[in-house]
Amino acid sequence: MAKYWLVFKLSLLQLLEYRLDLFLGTFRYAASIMLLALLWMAVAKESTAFIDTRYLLQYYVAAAILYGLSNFHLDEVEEDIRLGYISKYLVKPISPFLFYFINSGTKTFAEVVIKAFVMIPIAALLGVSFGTSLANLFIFFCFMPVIFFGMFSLYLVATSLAFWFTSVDSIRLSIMFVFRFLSGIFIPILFMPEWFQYISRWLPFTPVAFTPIQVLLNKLDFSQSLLAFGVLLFWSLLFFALQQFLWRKATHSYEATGI
Amino acid sequence: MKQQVFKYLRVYGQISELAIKTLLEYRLNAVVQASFGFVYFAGLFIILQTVFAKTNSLGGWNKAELMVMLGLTSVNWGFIETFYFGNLRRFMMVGVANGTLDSVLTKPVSPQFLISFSQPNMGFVAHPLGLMLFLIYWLWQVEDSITLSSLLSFLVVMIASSIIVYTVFLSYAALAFYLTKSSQTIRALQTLADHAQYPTAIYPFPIFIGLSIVVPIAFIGYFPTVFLFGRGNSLLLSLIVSFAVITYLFSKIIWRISLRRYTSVSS
Repeated sequence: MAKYWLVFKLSLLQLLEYRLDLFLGTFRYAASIMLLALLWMAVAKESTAFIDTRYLLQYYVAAAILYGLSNFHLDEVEEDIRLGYISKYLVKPISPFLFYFINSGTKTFAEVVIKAFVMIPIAALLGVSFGTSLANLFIFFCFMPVIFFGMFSLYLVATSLAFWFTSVDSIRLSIMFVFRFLSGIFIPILFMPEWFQYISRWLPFTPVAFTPIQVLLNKLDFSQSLLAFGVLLFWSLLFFALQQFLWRKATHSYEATGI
Repeated sequence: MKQQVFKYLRVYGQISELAIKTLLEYRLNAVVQASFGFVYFAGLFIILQTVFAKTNSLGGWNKAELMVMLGLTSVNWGFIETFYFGNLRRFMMVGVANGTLDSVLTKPVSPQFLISFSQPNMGFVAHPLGLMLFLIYWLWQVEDSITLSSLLSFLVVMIASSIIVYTVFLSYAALAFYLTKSSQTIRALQTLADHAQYPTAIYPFPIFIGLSIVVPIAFIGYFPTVFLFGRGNSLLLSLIVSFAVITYLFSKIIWRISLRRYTSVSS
């Protein structure tokens, strides 16, 4: 376990190495999502239908914080596969999955924490508070690691294809964009057509953003939260199983020379 | 002068040929990359559709006009992404840090030209070309007629806007000379560019100014559309043209200073 603790510490140091880059990387999406909040405020001003602007602000602050858990890049893993650096993990007593998982997880969660520390006080200054119950806060925190686990497994599935197709960044990015639009990060699912709201309950998209935000905003009761958590867990395990299957198949036939 | 232009055209022709060959090296990735822009565009289209399910106008623009703005933004961004954005991104990520700039400086072509245009993203070129059909369709739907004078001022604004966006992005790219790692700067510009499809004037005034001057995404879609529909005036037009001249000169100075202070050791 000590070696993985070291990976965690090294990943954290790596993240803090270039602070301006960290700052920009952390807040570019937060700024983008807050612009979306302003867009919907402008819509609310002109709309004849009632749009709860307070809810919108709360929603987008939470979305900005959660965003990083489902939007991260595994370019380094793809590069390791393409250039053959993956060999060093295959011949040493370290699991590549755990190495990459801890490396990406540390960076992702550090960014989420930094964003939360900055955005929640700013939101409070603007008069936005969440008023989340302790039970819902606990459920919300339970969602976070599973969201990352599921999304990491899914992105690693796409990245594993690099063993066969060499360059697969476009596939990974396409998956990421589909999740961005359908998970509710850009548009609250409540604004989507009813048929989509219905089927989205069973798809892997909404548990990644919309549902945990609803939990945080006390909009779901315990049974609904539990059901959504179950759906998220199911999809995450499915992605993980697929990832393990592909990885095993790939490394089984993998050959490297002269690295 | 004429010889110089031909020389650069010839170089660019060879660069494009090489870019197509490189793209076709990984065919699956190329296919996904070509369709990727359309997937993203579909997302932006869904957002606008959702907006117009709630209201009939946004910031004084109706649905058809905003669809034109979306089309124009996507076509412009598609060309930016195809021709130079990826190069600037790469330069900021590895150009100075890995010392690959040296190979550019020793070639008998302008370093700024090679840094900006050496590897066009040919996988993206189908995106702006395809979206022109979308743009034409929604232009057809707009009730306001486009006059000859509005079309002329639109063309002037398009040229000025292209200069502004390119030179401001290029100026940001010069940060690579001063910061060891600066990739997030250009990625931040890319992320914020997602908002170029909305009328920038709907945002509070400080943000409007920020999105026009600091991160000039308003020039990708908003200002050209304003002039296309004859909503601009001569004062705004002269301000935009002056701003284009200022950003051009600014980027020239920034790059001259940055290249002068650049030193390299055994890269």
